[in-house]
Amino acid sequence: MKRKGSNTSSSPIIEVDGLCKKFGRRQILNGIDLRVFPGDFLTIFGSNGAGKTTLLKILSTLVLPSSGTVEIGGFDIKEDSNGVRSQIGLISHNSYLYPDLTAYENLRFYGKMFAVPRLENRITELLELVELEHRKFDLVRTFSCGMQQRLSIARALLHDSPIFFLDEPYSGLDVHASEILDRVLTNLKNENHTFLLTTHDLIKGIEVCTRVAILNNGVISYEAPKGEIDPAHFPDVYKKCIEVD
Amino acid sequence: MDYLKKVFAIVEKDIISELRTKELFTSMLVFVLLTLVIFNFAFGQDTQADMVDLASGILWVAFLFASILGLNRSFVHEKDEGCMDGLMLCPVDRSAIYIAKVIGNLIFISIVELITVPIFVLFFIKDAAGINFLFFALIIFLSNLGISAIGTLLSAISINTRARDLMMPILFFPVIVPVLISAVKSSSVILVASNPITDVYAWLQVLVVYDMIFLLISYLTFEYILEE
Amino acid sequence: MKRNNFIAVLAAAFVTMMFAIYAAFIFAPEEQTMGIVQRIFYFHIALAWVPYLAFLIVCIASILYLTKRETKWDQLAAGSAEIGVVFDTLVLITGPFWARVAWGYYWTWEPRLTTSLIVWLLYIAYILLRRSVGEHDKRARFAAVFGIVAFVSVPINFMAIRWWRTIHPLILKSTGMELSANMRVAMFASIIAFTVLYILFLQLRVAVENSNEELEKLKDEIGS
Repeated sequence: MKRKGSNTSSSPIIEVDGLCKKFGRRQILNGIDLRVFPGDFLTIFGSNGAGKTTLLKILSTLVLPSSGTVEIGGFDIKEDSNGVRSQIGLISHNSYLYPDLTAYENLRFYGKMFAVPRLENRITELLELVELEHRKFDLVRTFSCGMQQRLSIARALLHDSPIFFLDEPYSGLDVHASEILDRVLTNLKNENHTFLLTTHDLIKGIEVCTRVAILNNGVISYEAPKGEIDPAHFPDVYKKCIEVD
Repeated sequence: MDYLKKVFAIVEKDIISELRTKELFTSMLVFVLLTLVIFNFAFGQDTQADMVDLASGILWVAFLFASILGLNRSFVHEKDEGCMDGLMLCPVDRSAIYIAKVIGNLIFISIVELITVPIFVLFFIKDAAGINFLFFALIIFLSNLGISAIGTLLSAISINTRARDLMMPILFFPVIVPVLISAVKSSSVILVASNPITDVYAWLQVLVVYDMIFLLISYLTFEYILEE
Repeated sequence: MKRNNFIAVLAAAFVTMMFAIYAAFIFAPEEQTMGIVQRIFYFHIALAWVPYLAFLIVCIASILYLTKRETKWDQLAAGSAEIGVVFDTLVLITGPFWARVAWGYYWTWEPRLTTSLIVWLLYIAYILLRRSVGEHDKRARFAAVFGIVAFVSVPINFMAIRWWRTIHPLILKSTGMELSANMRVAMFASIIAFTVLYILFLQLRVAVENSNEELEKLKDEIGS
């Protein structure tokens, strides 16, 4: 199907070449090529089991590729994984929060691990941003799902990374948390961060993005800039893409 | 140093977490006490007969079993809450995670043992005067180091298998035999004040060698367990 | 090529084993005190040595797998561990027979026998570990790490167990056996024969593993 690249003049901040991943006998990713440029907001659609989460996990260094190369922010994912990690923030349905620590302690821990400068100020700033400063010294165990997700957003923002990976971030969010996430993303977009989003929500996904891709059967079977997409017809395009075997 | 700062950040997190729940601590402590009591019924005698040799063995079996409890729990926590991934997202060498876990485990096990040793002496040793507690502490520390060093690696392996907790003792016991032998033998020497302290040196050597070798090997191979 | 290789090893195994049996039963003289049962000693010694060789191979193959990530090293390690356990089981069975004749007890915590037991437990653990992990890659990695740990613990175990025994000297002393020249020949013949046998079994085992892999691959291709 159609494949198109972006046409900004700067060099890509994420470069994926021939990425393959096999778990035991199952080939999940079968040769992914991707170029993401600074300031891009790429939304990746795909059915369950298509490999979206695996792709993001590999890009976040949580999983090693079977073959192929990935370069993020100039760092190779195998040789310089720590370099890659400091360039990215991950938000997914896992909150990555320690339930027996307070909100403050959680942020302080991750802040130390990412060597965030002026940590105390940053924590206060972020807790205000996600509207949790009144629960600063409460155990995360006592938080509702929505609150945990908000704190998780704060956690991801700690080190002010240039790149964000969002793995179905809206799933499980209550209305309040959704609003906060929207606000945060808008702010970050204005600051020219780069985003990779995976989602099932066709409408939301197209709304926020600058480019769209569809992952099917372990390869990117469709890719186009937002301008070329007609939101009304896109669901049909999508269905067609995932039907083709 | 950046590396050490991050190691201590992880240790601090584990300690704060444990202080809140005291989950590990209480279960290990109660387990050791129960084991000591049960062993007394199994082996104990009413007479003032010399229980020293037997006592030493009882103590270390109790410590070993309690250690397995503690070692298992330390990774189960991370894995169950998905926090292991959170840790792996941080720009820190996998070996630092290993060191931090070893230090954490060492602290937890040592505190439990520190509390239970006086009780042990009370239960099993008739004549406690003149016991060289300094050397006893050294034996305990070196043994714990060995237990933590290899135990942290093996528990990381075992919780990632189908058998989970059950795999740990299977992997752990054959490997920890030298520590068990050394700890028991040297403790037996120490617990009888009249024994010359030099008898202990050979066993301390075994412990030191063991600790160095398994700290090194575990440090080098830990990352292979975490990768996916 | 492989087939010729295999036949050569099979022939060697046959020849060396025949010679070893001859040497053990006919060539070597009958031992004075223990009589014919003493002859099991030759096989026991040979059996006892092979596991250590097998587990050394496991360790080396494990290191090679972790550095090179080629499946063949994992197959070698798995095969070698299994065969080592089989031989070690035989050691633990023949050992008590030897002990009964030499010392009157079926089991004694004599250092070498005890070490063989611990080693047996180590590699049973290795095999159980492999069985407890489903994914190929994960299984190979975990097994490789434990393969290295287990082998490194063998000499330390041996040392500790030996010192454990010498500090409380054995009530049963070893029957300082004098080995005549012929007996020595029998002993070495046996060691060589069983080593060749190990190599034969290892080849077979790795070949079976290989066939399994190919079968799985074919199944996948047909399936999809």
